[in-house]
Amino acid sequence: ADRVRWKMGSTYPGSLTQLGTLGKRVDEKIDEVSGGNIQIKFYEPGALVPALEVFDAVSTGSIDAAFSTPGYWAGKVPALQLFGAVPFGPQAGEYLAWVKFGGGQEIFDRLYAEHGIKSLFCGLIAPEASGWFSKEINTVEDLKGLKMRFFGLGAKVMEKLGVSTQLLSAGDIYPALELGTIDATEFSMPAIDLKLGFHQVAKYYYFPGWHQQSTFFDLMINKEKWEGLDKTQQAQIEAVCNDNLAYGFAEGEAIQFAALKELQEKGVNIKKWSPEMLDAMRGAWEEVAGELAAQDADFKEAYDSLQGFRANYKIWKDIGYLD
Amino acid sequence: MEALLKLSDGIDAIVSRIGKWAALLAIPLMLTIMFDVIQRKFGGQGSIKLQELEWHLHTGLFMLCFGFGYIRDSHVRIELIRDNLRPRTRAIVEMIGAIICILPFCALVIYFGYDFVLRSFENHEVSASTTGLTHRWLIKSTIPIGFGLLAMAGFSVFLKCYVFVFGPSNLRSRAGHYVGATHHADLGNEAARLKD
Amino acid sequence: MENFYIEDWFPLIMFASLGILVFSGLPVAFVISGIGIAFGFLGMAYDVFSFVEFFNIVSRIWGGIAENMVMVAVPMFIYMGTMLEKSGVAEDLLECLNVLMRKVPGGLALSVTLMGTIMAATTGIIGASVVMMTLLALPVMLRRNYDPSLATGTIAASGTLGILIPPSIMLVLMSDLLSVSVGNLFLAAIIPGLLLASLYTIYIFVRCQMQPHLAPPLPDAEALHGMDMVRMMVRSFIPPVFLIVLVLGSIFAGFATPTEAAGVGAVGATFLALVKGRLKWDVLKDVCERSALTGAMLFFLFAGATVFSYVFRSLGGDDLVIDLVDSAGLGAWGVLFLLMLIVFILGFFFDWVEITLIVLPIFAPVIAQLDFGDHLAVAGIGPTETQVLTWFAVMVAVNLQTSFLTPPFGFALFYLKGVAPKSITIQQIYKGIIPFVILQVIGLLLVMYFPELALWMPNTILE
Ligand code: NA
Ligand code: NA
Repeated sequence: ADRVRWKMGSTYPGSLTQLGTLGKRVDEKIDEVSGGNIQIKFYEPGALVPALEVFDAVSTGSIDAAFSTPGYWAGKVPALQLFGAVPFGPQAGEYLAWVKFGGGQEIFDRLYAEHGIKSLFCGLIAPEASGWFSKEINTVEDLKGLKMRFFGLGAKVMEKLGVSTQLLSAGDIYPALELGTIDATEFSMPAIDLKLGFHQVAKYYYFPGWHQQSTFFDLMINKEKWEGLDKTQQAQIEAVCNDNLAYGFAEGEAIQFAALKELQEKGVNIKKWSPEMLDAMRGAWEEVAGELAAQDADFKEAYDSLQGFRANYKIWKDIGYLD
Repeated sequence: MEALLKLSDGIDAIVSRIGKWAALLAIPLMLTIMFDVIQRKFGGQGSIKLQELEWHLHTGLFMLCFGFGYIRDSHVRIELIRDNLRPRTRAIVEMIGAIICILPFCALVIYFGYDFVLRSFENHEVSASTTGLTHRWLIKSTIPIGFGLLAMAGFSVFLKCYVFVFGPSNLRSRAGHYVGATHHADLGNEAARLKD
Repeated sequence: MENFYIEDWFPLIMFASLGILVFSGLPVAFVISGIGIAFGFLGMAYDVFSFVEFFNIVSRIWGGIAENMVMVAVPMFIYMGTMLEKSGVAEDLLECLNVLMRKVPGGLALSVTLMGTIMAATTGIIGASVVMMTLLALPVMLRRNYDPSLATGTIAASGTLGILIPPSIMLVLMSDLLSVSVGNLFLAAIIPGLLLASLYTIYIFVRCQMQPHLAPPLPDAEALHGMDMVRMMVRSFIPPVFLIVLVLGSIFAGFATPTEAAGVGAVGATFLALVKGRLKWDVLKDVCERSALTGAMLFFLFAGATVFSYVFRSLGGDDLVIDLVDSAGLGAWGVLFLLMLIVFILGFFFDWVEITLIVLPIFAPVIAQLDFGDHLAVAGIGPTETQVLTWFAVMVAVNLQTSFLTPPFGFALFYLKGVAPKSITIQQIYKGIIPFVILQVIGLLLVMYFPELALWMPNTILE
């Protein structure tokens, strides 16, 4: 078959634990698996196109592929957010079950196909943290007027609880948190947050990350280019992505506790939300989900499919697992 | 030739008018930032819409002034060699520059920018941060418009230089705006300001 | 022998064309974008680029310049500078400083360095600070018969300090690409930033001491005494101090982010003009217009540069750089020196974002694994990977700050040229910047030789 030489954009820098390294792994593995027949070159965000422009770029074919998460396309295809991470959503096993066998995949394929994109699930990671706070949060009342940098579905939920959400430029987050211009920021998971040094400016680290219990990454490919591949080549790329799913999940589970220990040693207060707080947030999320479903038919379809699957899955989950 | 010069002046007037209006966006920009800072400190609701409004205003401000900037000749040049050229040669260089450097660039940005805006329009694109501003295509459309204005400015400069090179000598002074020695950054230059 | 393919050399030919055509006298931004696009088409003819890839130019202009929140500070700083100039506030201050520092060689130039260091406490977009300082200080310096080269060199160099001294958008991008803490990099850059400011200060002082005609001292006749002096100080110091307190105060009190502080300053400058009775609708309109024209000049340079570097990268320019380092087969210090040299040379042509994107992702992991012996060891303990990366990042940062100053494509020089009085030629600017570039290189070598300059702050405060 014809050799493939693709340019792959990314929404994450290649050095970023998991989020970026999983993208670079696609570049390396596809080369090995295909014996050099397929090369998909990883480009840093901004090297070819800015991070959040990869969707349009893959869609037009001005880049061939991109490593990203469906959660980023809230502004363009709201329903795709449900394939990135769902607040109070399923954990990895259940999430994977839904997309592969519960009807998720079909909706996913259709949503992307409308934009000329073929996308493969290509990474799955452990829960995120809920965020870094400069003060302790004990009651829902404490959230009122809190200035928090937040992005995506979670931001809508937080606004319902009276949080003043902020969208700061990357350069401003750190000084703003340090100087009290904002009180909190969401970021990622312990292994990443430790490297990025958020403990240097905020002392309270909250869990669980209700807004992101597990997160999918995907490899978006220009649909025409995907269809131009032969069966073997397609299977090779699919195999690499499936391998990446397992690899990323295992790695994510393996690296968090050491980071948590180190953060604790550095004097970070690691906190868990109280059940009341979680209930309040869940209530707010259900309201938000209802509004989104009312606004967007695709979102409703995907959300109903997920909720339906989860109701059925519960039959098994309750009896099959220890707790 | 006279007509060409008239056409060029007409284009200048349109592009300058839009540029002058866009320039005033600095005032709402400044006020929006101030308002955001104050209301955040004294307990306001989310600021995302305001923060997005800030870069919207800024984008409108500079995109719509690219052409205005060329007409006022405020784009920076290195005149090292230019200063030693005859005005006629300068005008020829400027003509070639307008055709080779400006117009293809503008054409590409307008062509793909139209597609860029259309995608946004058809997807009903809103802010990626979900709680931000809607109707993203509006602000995106400043890209093809801004480069359209620049193309108009480029065309106008081309006409002036064409008249300067090939036209009668009595039109030279009116057409010679872009061939003066060390011509740059007419910021604050009274003559330039009185011109339109 | 390998076959020769002309298309492999396109990136180098792009460099060469730029180096020549920039002197055509056409607007610089037009030349740089024009070359980018021309080579895109050339690439199409040789089948190494496709038409649809031009789409990415729009994405880059949109995502990199328009939808980029930090850029909002630029028009605000320009507005602030223009308004201060118009209202006479800046002139009063500089004249007063001049009188006060009558006995200090190069007093005005030293004030400019101080002003640049203070402005560096904001996000530090070079375009904004250089434009602002040029508007404010250059006319006064020229009127006082300062040597144009010394005046412009001082302004350009001091105006670029903001990209190194935190908070800095450049350090944030580096922390992203290296996945090290922003806090580490911010702390690590403080001493090198202040070191450079001190080097400038020493240089200006010594040079003006030796060659007083470069910065003529005020005649004694203009000295003020007693109450006159006090009155002048009150009149000329209060407004700018108010403004500095407003801008820095709003940041440090946690009111405004470093980006927003620019907007706060713009409102403050308008207020000062109002108090001085100079704020009329015509004045406001004129200030907006001149700011917009300056902004258009700046942002069109950004747009042009993004086209050039995009096409350069698409045609394999990055690989050319990478192969060069890989094929050299050097030891730890050799690699480091070569990389610094490459960054320095790339700095002649590219802006810092693109150089960072070429150099950091590929070479930082390499550097992190290199063995520099005990050079970085603290108290007998070998350095951690974070420490090596921090040291490396700070050296790259100093080097990239220099890239704003190096001809032919020194962006700081263009910004300065763009708003300077007509009498200033690019030759004078080029000539004036040379001593400062040498100082930058000295600063870089110092950080290389004494890693503590970068590592002492983070080691002490964070560990
Ligand atoms: Na700074
Ligand atoms: Na340079």
